[in-house]
Amino acid sequence: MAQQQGIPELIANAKIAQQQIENFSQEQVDIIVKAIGKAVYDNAEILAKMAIEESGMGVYEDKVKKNQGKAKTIWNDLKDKKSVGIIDRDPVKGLVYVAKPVGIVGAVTPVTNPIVTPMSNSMFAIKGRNAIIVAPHPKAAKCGAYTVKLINEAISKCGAPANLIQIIEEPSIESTNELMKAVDVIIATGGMAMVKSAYSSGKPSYGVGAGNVQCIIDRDVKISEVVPKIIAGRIFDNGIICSGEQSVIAPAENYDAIIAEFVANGAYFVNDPAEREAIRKALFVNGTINKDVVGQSVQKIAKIAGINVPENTKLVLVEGEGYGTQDILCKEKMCPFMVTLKYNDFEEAIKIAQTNLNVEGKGHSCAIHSNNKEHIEYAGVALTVSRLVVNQPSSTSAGGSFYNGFAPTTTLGCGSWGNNSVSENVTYKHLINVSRIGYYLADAKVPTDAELWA
Amino acid sequence: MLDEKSYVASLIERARVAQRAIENYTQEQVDELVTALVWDVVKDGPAQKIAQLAIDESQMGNYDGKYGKLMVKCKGVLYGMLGENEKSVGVIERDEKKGIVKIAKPVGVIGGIMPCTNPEATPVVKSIMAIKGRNAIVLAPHPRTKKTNALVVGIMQETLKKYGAPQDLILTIEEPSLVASNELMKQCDLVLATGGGPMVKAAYSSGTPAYGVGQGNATVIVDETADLKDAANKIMRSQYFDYSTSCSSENSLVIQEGVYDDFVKCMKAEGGYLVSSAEKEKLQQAMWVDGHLNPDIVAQSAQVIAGLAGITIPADCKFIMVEETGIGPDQYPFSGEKLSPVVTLFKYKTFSEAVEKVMTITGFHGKGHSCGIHSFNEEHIMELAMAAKVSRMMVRQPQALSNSGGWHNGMPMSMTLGCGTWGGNILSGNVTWRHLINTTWLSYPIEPKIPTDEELFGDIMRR
Repeated sequence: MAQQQGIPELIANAKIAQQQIENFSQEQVDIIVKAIGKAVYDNAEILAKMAIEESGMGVYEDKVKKNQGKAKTIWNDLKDKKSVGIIDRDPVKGLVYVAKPVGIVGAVTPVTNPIVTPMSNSMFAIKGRNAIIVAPHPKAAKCGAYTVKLINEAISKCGAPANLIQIIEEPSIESTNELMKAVDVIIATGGMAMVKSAYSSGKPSYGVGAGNVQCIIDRDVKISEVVPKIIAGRIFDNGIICSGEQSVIAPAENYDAIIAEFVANGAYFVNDPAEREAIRKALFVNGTINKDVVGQSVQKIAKIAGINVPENTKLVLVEGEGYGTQDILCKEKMCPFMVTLKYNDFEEAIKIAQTNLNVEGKGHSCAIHSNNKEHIEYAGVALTVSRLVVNQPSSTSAGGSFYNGFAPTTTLGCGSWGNNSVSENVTYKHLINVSRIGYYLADAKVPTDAELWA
Repeated sequence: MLDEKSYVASLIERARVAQRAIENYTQEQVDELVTALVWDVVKDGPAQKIAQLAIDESQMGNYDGKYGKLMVKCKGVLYGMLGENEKSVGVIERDEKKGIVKIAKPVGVIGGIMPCTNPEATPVVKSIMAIKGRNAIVLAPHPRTKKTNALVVGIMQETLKKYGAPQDLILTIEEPSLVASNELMKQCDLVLATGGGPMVKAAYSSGTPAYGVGQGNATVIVDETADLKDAANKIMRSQYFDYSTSCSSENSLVIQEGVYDDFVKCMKAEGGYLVSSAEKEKLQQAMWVDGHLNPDIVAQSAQVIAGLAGITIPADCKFIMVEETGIGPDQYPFSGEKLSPVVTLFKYKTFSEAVEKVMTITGFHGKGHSCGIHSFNEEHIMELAMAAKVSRMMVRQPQALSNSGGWHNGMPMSMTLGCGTWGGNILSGNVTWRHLINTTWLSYPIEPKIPTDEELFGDIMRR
């Protein structure tokens, strides 16, 4: 195979391609964005298969669902949005907003979502009439490159110029850093070190933060309805999604009933000290997550830990010995394992969740199952997260779904809590420059000093 | 004396303690505090003292400009952050249809990097924007204006004390240096950098999320439909304001040839002096040294600049005009940013030529910042609006008094003007308190509308 061009050549190609779509109409752009989604939707199975084989992580059926689901929800969200020309008028303020491209987007994409992140970042970039260059994780470079190839075949039939979407075929930390310094804006969906380098690149950046979703169960919910949702969220794609539930925080008097419901739904519950210690050692090495367990099945991880679990176990619940720094099991686990913790009053539930977040996952997401509006809003006000997912499985909801109002994305901003510039889901609107046209308001009201100082 | 790293760390730690103390302030407490902070700066006494010190210390700009900035910017930013729609505490938005409730929270400690051109109002504006979001702020003043900064910060700390708020909510680096500024950017939670290109680049290299600004070089079209007298008056006011220290000031005017002579007459009537080609040569040698703008002319009066160039201008001249035909950094420096009451005049025939000139001028200097137009032809206005790669375009307004917000337009009041990716910034708009909060999105389940494949993908399925 011929060696791929270096970063300067990719940038030069991208520049030419971007200039060719600089004056595209909304319709011309939208047809390309749609085709990107459709290419992944149509090839969901093959891409899922490649992703599993190359990364060695996740669950085939879930990856198929994710490929299809993200393609659909993102296009559905983007299809009516204006991203070309005048996007808004405010007659009262005399302002007209005109959208323009940012130029070349550099997208750093993770091993955990090697198909949908290049897809979604490309859809957002093209929606804003930009070119994009993807720097995939080295352990998912082939499936990423194949995704881009399929997308390019599809969009070439829809009027897209060549090289609008490019990918580094043999990525390395060096080439990714070189790319970040050469583009106009960066979207970094990756580990904290990668995000930190994006914010050190000299270029404006959107990054993500580490997850560690705390899931609070209130007293007033129907346990039989809530538990399956949490399980569904936790086990999806073997738990590799950063918005997946990590802790069950349950009311003390319902704790046993909740655990029993989990067990009845296929969970294996651990409170034996020796088994718990074995699990800690399997999941964490020197205080950080063991790479070998990320996105792996319960059985594989049980084997690493040297414990026996029933054959059809869907997930493992481990009772925590304290929270925050008291038990390492309260950190992010990225596999079908959860820690369980008890609370007495609701304030304690919030305290447990926040203490765990302070160790890891500050700024990302939390989940709550409750019918008590006061409790829900109290949690919303108290917790330092960008998203609080109410009565839904977090992992498949925080990134947007048909069932909620979050902007569909694969890049979840975590605010300054997570060392990011935005505390919301990153989407096309972050990849446009906006010219604000200010008209003179002859009849403007200038406040008097008395009005101002009251 | 501590090394810079530990010194900045100690400031940040004090700011953190102070921030935690107001973490649970109510909206009323926050709004009262920001109002009091501004009042104690703009009231008679302190305002005059600050304006005078800013002039004496920086030797840039003029007293009326400094005083005017305190009055307009501090009051304007405050006015923009008060009222029903400016909630920064607790639930700030409910969208029943989407099942979303948005809750505002502090980001923590802001690192504020400040320019020497606006030492009077910038510390006030940055501080109240930070406190509006229940944050603390640590300011890094420009070494050239550290005394003015200390005076302003001292007044604000007194106010904090008077209102029972921790004084450490607003802290400043007392002995500013590049090293200290870089440390501040590394250690704070969010950087708010208003400064030159290298400083902003440093902000985006600090590892911390940042809002930065870009260089200005506002270029303004005067077309054949313009009210020439009105346009000339507005441009004069903008040029003369603080001797054009503002990055928003008009730097080049692109004028339709049919109205050119009449317009120049109007400009002369407003106190403009048009240099001859011999004078232009001298002016250029005084204003640029080895290809760089001479710091000695920045924000000086027309008379001082003329004096340095060895040319004579009337005592009542307010600004200097230079005719130019070429554009580019090396051969035609007058087409670039001048940071002084010197404005460059270009002539055009067709409107598309005018747009092209704006694009070329702002394309090499002042990318993403501002442009403007004096015209009553809506087609012309929109043609420029669609083409220009700038974050703000003022229609029939004095640039320096408008594009960071003014009473007579809808631009958000600010002293930090994001220039989009064109200028190497994350934001193409005016930075306000809204950028200095984290937001928790509370999401309730909603009734879904799931489209069929036919509805969603339509004709693309058959391609």
